[in-house]
Amino acid sequence: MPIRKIFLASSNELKMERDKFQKEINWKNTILKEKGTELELIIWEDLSAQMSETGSQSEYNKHVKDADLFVLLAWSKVGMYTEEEFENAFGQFKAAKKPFIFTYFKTPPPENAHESLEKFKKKLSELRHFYANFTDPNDLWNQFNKELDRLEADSFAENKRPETYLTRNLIYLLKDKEHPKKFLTRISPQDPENWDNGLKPDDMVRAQNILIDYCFVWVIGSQLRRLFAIGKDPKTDQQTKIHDYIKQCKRTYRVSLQLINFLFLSKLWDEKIKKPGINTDYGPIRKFFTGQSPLELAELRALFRTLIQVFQENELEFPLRMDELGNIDRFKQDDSAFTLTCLEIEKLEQVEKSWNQYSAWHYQTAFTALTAILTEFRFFANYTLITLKKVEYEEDRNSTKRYIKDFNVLEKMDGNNQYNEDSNQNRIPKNRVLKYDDKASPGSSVLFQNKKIKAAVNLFPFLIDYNALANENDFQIYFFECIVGESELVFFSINSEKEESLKYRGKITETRVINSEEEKIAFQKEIQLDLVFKQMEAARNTILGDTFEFVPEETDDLNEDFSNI
Amino acid sequence: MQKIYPFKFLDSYTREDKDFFFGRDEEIETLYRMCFQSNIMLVYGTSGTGKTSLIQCGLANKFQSYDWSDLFIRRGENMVYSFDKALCEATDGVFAVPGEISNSIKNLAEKIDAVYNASFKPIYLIFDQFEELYILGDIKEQKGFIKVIQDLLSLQRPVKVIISIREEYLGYLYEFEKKVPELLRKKLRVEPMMEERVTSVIKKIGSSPTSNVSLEKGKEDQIAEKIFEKLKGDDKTLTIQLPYLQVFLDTLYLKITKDESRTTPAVFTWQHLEAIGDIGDVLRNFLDEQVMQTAQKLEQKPEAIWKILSPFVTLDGTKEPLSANQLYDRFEEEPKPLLDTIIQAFVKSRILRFTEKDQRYEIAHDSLAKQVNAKRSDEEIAILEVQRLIKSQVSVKPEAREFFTERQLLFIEPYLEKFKESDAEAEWIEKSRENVEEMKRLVRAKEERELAAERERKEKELSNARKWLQRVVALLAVVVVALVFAWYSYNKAKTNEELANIESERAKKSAISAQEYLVNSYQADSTRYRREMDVLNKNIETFKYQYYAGQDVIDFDSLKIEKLKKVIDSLSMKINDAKLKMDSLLGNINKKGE
Repeated sequence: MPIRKIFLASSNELKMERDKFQKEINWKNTILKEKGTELELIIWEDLSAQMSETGSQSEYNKHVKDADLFVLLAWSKVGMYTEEEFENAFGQFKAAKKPFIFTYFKTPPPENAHESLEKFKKKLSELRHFYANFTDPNDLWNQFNKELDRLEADSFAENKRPETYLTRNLIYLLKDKEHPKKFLTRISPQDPENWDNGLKPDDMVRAQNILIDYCFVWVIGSQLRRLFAIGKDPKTDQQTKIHDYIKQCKRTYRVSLQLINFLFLSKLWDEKIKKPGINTDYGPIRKFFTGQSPLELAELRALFRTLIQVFQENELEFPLRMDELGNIDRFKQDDSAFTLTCLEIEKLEQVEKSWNQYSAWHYQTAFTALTAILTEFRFFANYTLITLKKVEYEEDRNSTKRYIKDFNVLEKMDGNNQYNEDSNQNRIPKNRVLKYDDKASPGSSVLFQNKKIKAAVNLFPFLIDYNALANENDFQIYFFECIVGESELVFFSINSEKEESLKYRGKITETRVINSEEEKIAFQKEIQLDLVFKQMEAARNTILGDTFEFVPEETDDLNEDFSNI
Repeated sequence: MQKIYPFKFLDSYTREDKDFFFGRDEEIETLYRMCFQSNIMLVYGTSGTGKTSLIQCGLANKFQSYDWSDLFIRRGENMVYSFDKALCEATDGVFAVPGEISNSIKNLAEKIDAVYNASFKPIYLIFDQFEELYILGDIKEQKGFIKVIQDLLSLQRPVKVIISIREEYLGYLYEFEKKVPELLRKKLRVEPMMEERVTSVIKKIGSSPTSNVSLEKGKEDQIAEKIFEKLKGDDKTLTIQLPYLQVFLDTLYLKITKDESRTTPAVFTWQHLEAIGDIGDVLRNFLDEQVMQTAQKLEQKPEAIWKILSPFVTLDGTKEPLSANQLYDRFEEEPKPLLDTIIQAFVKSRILRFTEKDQRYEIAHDSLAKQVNAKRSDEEIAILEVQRLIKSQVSVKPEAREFFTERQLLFIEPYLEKFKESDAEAEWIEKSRENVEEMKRLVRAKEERELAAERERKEKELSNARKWLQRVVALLAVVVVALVFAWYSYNKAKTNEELANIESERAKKSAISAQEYLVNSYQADSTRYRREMDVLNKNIETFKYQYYAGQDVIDFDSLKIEKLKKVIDSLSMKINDAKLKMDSLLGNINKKGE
């Protein structure tokens, strides 16, 4: 039976924590032994005192070298020896990838905290070592216990950075998709599940690129890009990184929930037109349309559960294929792995306002939960987002009528040649597609399209491409957040990560004399943006059975972008 | 909370300075929105309006760190090369910086990918002081750069291009816009700050909790307004130069605290403001002080220090970045350690700024460049003019190039030892010399033909003069005959006393009349010769003038002058001979008369 050695170094002042550690390890061993592992705790009390008195450097070094885990606890100060020996352990880890180091600081520090404490924390940041804070012995053990579980699941083989863990799991999850498959074939790992063991750094970058560009639908891919970028930033300090990691994990979770809710709501809107008798009078649905502020994570999940319930009760066809969704009940059950994972990440929202309390384990949790959630929502890898920038109608004398549709495919296209040329030899990026057909289509559309069968759900107006409406280049994806008052819609820009407010102008039915091309463009933009309100109004009234109407907000200001056109 | 010094002097504000960057919220928001609407944006405005700070500090801080990765690119030696270099350096060693300057970038897409993979952040390529491409770059470099940007924009990569340019150079973008039509679609003019905004900024800096500078309590408004007044000077303008504001506030701070480390807290009071001059004085004093201090420290004359600063400024009074090697070449006679010391002294006092990427030094701002320009000696100006003349000629492709004229060579040559021309320049100067020699040879042949004709004319004139002398001689003979006759009459009178007396009186009168006639005629001749000499002298003066004017025929004229001088000398000698002869005759006449 393998024995995992834990070396615990702490000062006298943390006796309660040490005792708790010892007690819990003993208890833990009873469970682990059944799984064929045993933990051995080596407590090195008051490191500085021992080192100075005994000078037992060699004994200490031996312990560090033999240990699987090195745990350092500190509160009011960090002694000279503690700091030196941390460096020793850190050097040992760098050379042999062992022991895995965990550093915990008790918070708040006492008033008479020694300056060595802050100095040491700064040093840890410079070494790019994440440390954690704890408030009491229970909190400390809870955090460490999670680390133990994670390492145990990995057979204590490697203490992976969370984004590596995320990458490994997602690539393996999507191993049958084109790009991950090609990638795995190329690196041909001995253990496909742990394909990242001994991987070259360049290949990890490639794997992350694949996840960002070719696997998930763009809105999820862009979030993954941010997560990986945080990890690569050498300038940002570790605590800010922890904060950013957690924020992005939550945001990715939020975006995933919103996206799936938009899918169900769009489908429900269409279905309710066909079957007005569908009962949709549920709190979460009403709150989605009438809440004056963005829904919280738990509320978004509640909405998802409610929508599943409505679809099941009314035997409606799901907007996603059943083979993609799998057992849909797991999304509703309180004790399913999905729900428990979601709860983990939703708890983090509660500490958002006091983000200083985030510690290393919080972000480990966030990553683990996000990995699990994206595993559940793996169907996002089957879809692509396409925004319709413009539809033009053509009908000449004695000729067939046709529609020219200007699409923008958000996901990256394959191939080295990154652009097409039109008849005027203008370069058009490959993800811009002009399609000619005789099928009428809504001018404003954001399509969630299955890559294989090409079936699509129009997510407009819950998800809009602001740039398409404003006649701008490129794309800017806005997610609906809430209706405020009678004239305002609040969206969240995925591109800029900022809340954007749109005001209803009531220009749709207005006939107007146009004096210049610029004025026409500005006016058309307002009409297009008004269309978002009219569509939202229609969706809300259909689904809730309301008679709500947006009221135009009078203003003399033309849109802020007018001057830049 | 640790308080820090809020002013940047002549440096731009960067991402780290967000606590002290005020007054541009509207522009930042506009530019920020543009970043999501286009892949290329243009920021323009007059010099000193804070374009660079707006991008580096204002815009950068609108983005989260994981959404912003910038490459700041200045032209350096070549815009395309500097871009390539910046890319390679940001690839984490995947691509090495190219060894040679080129107007194209190899493996552009791969390099962009490598930069992106190093951070997974969208890349913002900021081309600062873009006008340098047109001021210092040639047509090949300009075309090369446009092509690179075209290629870049056609890639499906998370890259945005921001071009910052002084607005007086907007017209130069015509070709660029033809190739990249979206260039001017999203543009932002950074306007100079008006009084209200400037005073608001000063007050905000003064009240910032992290600033170690504050304004006298209760007088914040008056102090901020007074600072604006001081900066405005006598001008009727409603705006001010922001770098001047920085220099002014820095000077004010140092005057109050005398703390070069700029850590001592300071309170700007009304009294302090009353005691300090306006911005013109501040700038002049600042530069003069720095130059004087440096000169004293290095035991040099201030003029020598001004001279070292001179090459960093163009003839038009704008900045010209130089590498240390370029400076060593300009001042070959000066020891390198001395030049290094002077450069470092100016870097320390923030008159010069070193850019790591380009490895070049430059005057920290145009406002200081103007001051340096004003301090230049005639010789420095001449050297710069010579350099510009050579550069402008040699930068043209060889088939369209013109040789330097003799006049230009005469202007260039005295200064050639004072700077190091390139091989191509030296070669072209040598070819020009050969060309001038050939031209002179042709001119000389023509002149010789003309001279021969002139000689013939002069000989004819001499022949006339000879004839005239013959007439004089004949006249003298007549006089001699008359004297002989008088002598005869005198002897005859001796025999007849009364008659002789009468005859003697008559002869005397007759001799005097002849003498008077001779003198008068010589005087008339002398006057005529003098006139001729005057004419010749005037010609000489004219030639001299022409010489100074540097006309190409100078050698010919000199030759002509020499030859004419010889003719005149010969004529003068002849006149002198004639005079001597006449004097001798007169002497004889007088003797005989006696």
